[in-house]
Amino acid sequence: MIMEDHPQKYTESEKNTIFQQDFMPLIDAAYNFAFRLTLDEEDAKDLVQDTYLKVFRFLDSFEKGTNAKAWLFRILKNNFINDFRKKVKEPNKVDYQEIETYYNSEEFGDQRYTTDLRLEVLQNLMGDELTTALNSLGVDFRTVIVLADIEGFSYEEMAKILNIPIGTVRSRLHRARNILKEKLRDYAKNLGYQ
Amino acid sequence: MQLDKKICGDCSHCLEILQIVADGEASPQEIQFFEEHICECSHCKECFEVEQNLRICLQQRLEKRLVPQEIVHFVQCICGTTKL
Repeated sequence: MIMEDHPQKYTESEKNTIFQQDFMPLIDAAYNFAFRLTLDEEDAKDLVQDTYLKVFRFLDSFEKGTNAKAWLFRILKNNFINDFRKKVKEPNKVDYQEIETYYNSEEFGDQRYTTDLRLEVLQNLMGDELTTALNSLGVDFRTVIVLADIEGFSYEEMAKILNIPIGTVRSRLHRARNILKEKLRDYAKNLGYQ
Repeated sequence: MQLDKKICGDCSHCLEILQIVADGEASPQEIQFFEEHICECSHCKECFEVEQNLRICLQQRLEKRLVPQEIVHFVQCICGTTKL
């Protein structure tokens, strides 16, 4: 997706139809994604509003019949990075590239899979506990889990949404899930699971 | 159920591709290797079940919010009345 004004491709009527048919049904998903990024209701509302303004403005760069949800989520994610993240929230933001380099180093070669989380822990897990664990991840790790496991995007779609190589999607997702499992395992230990 | 901590020679590769298989992104060769391996390895089989259950938990147990009506109204107005 190129965020620049394209020569007019659609009439006003066509734009309205595409907006209503392709993008309005996605507004709950967009709001949930925005909330999982910002962890704040008011910020999520602002982010959705800004995103839909941009969707309408740049609709001529959307190819009708292509993946509207991936296009919308990419705008939302870019909007979050460019306009939102700067303003608030994460002054001590973690540099995920640095983390990826660190965890993908040879030192972590064979220890990268977390195996200690037990099935019965997951089966007894409440939504609140899962939410707390997920929200405690850094935003870049949280984002890949939301895109893959909640929204069901493929690696290729995620690479386009996040503008990163597929290999990076895979390693970031792998690492994110391992951190999540470690947090859930710690939670289980506190509850007395062996 | 206790996890079998024994790691055989193939487990390291199996654990490496576990998430890719669970994500439905593995190649046919990786899937074949994986399926043959977990038939004989309870450790990797359980790890795979954990992976699958984690995805199910994330899909089913997290609260899904409805966007506030004020936002729906605002967005509806974008294409109706708002001049951009």
